[in-house]
Amino acid sequence: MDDLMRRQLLVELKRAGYRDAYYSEEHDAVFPMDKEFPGIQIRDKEIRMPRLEQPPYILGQPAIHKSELEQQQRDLVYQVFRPITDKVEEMVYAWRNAFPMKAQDVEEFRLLSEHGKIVLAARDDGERGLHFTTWEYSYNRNGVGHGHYTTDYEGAKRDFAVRSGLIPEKLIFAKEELEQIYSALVFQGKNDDELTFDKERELHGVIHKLETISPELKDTLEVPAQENEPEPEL
Amino acid sequence: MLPYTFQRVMMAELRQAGYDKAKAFPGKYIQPVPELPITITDTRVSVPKDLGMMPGFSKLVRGLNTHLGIANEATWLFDNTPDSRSKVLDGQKLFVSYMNTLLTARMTENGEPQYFVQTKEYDGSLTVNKRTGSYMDAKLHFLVLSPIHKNIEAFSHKYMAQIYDALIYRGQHDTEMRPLESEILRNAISAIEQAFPGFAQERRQPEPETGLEVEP
Repeated sequence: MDDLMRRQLLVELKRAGYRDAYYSEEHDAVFPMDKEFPGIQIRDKEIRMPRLEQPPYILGQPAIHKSELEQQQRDLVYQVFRPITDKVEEMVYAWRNAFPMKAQDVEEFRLLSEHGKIVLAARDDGERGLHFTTWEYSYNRNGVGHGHYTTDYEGAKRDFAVRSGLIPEKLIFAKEELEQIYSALVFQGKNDDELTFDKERELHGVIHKLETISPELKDTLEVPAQENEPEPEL
Repeated sequence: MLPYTFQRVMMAELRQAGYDKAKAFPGKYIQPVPELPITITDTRVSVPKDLGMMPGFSKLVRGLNTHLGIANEATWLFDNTPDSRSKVLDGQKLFVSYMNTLLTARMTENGEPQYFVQTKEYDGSLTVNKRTGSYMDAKLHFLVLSPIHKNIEAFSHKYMAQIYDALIYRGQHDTEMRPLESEILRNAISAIEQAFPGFAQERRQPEPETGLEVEP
């Protein structure tokens, strides 16, 4: 496994709460958990899941079924570890394809992107992984200033997009706004009788996209109260 | 004062937003709606005082101011970005790139600005994913394609129009909304209107209700 990939993977796993994550030279893989699912291995291009066995029976009944355990393991791999490895691969790719900054005193940073006067750069901080920053170029572009420093990759990209004017800040919706948008789309889908076939298909497309971005949005919809209340006895 | 680059960029933005009759008076100003005495220069949108009281007018002016901001940003980039020396870019201006995705622009032979969102392939060639005359549209497409901001994926121009429609529909018809929800909804509507001023004008109007007159 690539050195930067290994270091960054460990940093991101620990940030996500997997403090026991470790790298094994013998397997050339990162093991994110050493208790619940110790066999999961994150390798260079794949995540390996071990075949699970039926847990021991307690008083003649299984404490948990093998299929449930397998499902838990799959959820963990596809919903938690896969997004983390995707993100780390993206960071490492961006770092490898970037050139060193030309501005004064910041040569150890690599230029990931620039738009207008704003620049997004990163520095390799060894075991602490990549460190990101957004700066504003000076008038003659020889120097940079007004830095925003972070180790949060997504936050750095968002900051770059807003500072450079690629996206108006208001268009980055907060969680509550996303919930309201989702509710509005579902509300219109249920109630608007004048929707044409094409419009309805588009509406479902947006709902599906939002659900892909934030799967938890589905849970935010209130379950309607049961209408079939028992009639009072006469 | 109306710089030439600004005039071309602003005219393209206005046309994309549906102001088909917008007219430019070179060196002086742009009139977005020839029937109304509104004028635009590179610094401001000017409105006669007595017109400011007309209903729906402030929304129109707010929309024009948003276009003005976008056009000024694009003009600055056109004026301050050198033509690329790369062979594959063929003299286009590289506005921004991230990983394999590029946002480039050029002025066509007839002086129209054109923005391209392109992907760099393994062999060094470029694939054009989007060609548009609107800078805002190009920026959003770039964000969608490059992984700079993943949550924007759903919010390209087409989807945003649908979201805007749904928000307005819920605002008009949902009688069970709580005050906090209503406030968040209004904020979201206002954010979209500021970024896409054309939506407010394009919104479908409710048909006048007929047959509800009370007979004597």
